[in-house]
Amino acid sequence: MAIVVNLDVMLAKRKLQLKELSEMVGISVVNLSILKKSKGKAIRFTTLNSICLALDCQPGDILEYIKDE
Amino acid sequence: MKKINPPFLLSLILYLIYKLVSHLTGEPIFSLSIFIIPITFLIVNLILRKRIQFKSWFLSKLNIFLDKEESVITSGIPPDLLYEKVLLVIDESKFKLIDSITEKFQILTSTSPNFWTWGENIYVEIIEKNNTISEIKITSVTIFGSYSWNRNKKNHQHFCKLFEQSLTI
Repeated sequence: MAIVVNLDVMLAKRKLQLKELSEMVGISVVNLSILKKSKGKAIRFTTLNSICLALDCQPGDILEYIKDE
Repeated sequence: MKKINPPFLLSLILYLIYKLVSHLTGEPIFSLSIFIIPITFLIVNLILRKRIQFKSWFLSKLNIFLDKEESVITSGIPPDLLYEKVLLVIDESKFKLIDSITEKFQILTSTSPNFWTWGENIYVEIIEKNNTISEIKITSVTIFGSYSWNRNKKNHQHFCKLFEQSLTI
């Protein structure tokens, strides 16, 4: 996949668990797990906004483009 | 040419036999006994419908009085996570969660009865194909009717749509 979600990296940097983030942003752990595994189809701006707010980061810290070989 | 639904055909044949017996014997009340077997089937189905343990009975090819439609969705999500996701999708939809077996990744949901239908049972099973692909097998079964009037297909389409939409997080 070209777009990779680095949510686990950011969670580790902020020393947070997925469950804690889930409570902070109001998104279920299941949906965050899917997002973390880069298996989601799309991400809403509102979701991105709340994750960035909770983790105090930029969208670019969470999303990364990797060129397919 | 559109494929004729076997349970529907069977119901039609039963009706024609009834008319024939009724005409030959001249006893319409006695002729109604032809319908005892299908009615017994349907009563048994109504009793067993809310138990996932009887899934094989409802999905059996021998249960000719029920109309079934099976379809598969593939996904890259691991089965355990997919199971939780499907439960979440059902929870947020018009489908009603009836029963589930976590160990086997099996879920039973149903649609609500209304003026037109007694509701349909929808059996969902998550199967791990390999490390990267999982399958969601959805089977919609009528409970009280040998012809679904396209409701099985609509249930499948609705479920697929909800699942696809839920992947936008």
